[in-house]
Amino acid sequence: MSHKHALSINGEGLLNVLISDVGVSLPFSGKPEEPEKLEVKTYKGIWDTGATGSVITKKVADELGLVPTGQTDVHTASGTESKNTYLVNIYLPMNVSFQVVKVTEAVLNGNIEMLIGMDIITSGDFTLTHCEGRTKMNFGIPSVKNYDYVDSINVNNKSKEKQRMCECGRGKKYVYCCGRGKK
Amino acid sequence: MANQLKAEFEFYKKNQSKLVDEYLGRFVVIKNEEIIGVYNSEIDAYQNSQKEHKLGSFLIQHVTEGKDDYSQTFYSRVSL
Repeated sequence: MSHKHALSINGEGLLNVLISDVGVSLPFSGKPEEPEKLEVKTYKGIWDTGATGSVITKKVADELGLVPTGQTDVHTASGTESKNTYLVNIYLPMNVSFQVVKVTEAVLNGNIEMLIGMDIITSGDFTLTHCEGRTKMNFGIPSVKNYDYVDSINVNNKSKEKQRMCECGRGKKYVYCCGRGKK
Repeated sequence: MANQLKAEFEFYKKNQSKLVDEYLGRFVVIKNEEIIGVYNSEIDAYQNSQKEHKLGSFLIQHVTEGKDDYSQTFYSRVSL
C-alpha cells in the first residue's frame, strides 16, 4: 500500500483565504548525477480552487533563475493575455512533491508568491469545513474517499424519520402506524 | 526572449490541427517557428533540448486537441 500524506490548515476563526508554505525548485539540476541537489525556496501560497493551474510570481522565477519554456493564454476578469510558463518541482509541507509541473507567471497581491491551483488540488482529497466557526482545510494524497453531504444528509434524515412517533396518539412509530406504506 | 516565445506559441496555435494529426499526445519543441524535437514527456523535451539549445530560446508544447493545454483561467486573485 502506498503512503498517505495529509496537510491541514486550522483557523482560529473563519478564514477568508487558505495559505500554506510551498517549496519550489528547478525541475532538473542540469546534472543527472546530482538530481538531489536542487535548491528549494519556500514561499507563501494560496490554495485557489478558482485557478485552473498553479501560478508563480516573477519574483519566484527570478530568485530561482527559472527560464520560460512555454506560453499560455491566461483568461481573467480583466481580459486575456499570453503569459510565460515555467517547469518547476513543487513541494508541499506534507512530504509530497510534484515533479515537472507547468506553472504560469502572473501578478499576485501582498506577500503571496504562488497559487496552488486545481492541477495540484485534484491530485488528492480536499475538504473545507467551518464547524463551530473555525475554518479547517484538509488535503490528503492519494484520494481515498468521496465525500457526499447530500447522501449523508438523506441517510440521516431517513433514520430520523423512522424514529419519529406517530401523531395519531396510538403510541407507535409513524412508519409502523399512519405512515405504513407511505414513502 | 518573451517575444520569441510568443512567436513560437503563435506558430503552435496556427498549426495545431496539423500537429495534432502528426504528434497527438506528444511534446513538441519549437524554435524559430520550426519543430526541432518530439518527445514522449515534458521532462525529456526539457532535458534533451537544453543540451543543444539555450533555455528560453525554445518552447515546449503538449500536442492536444482544443485549447485546454494552452489556456489557464483564473476566476480570482490574478492580475495581468
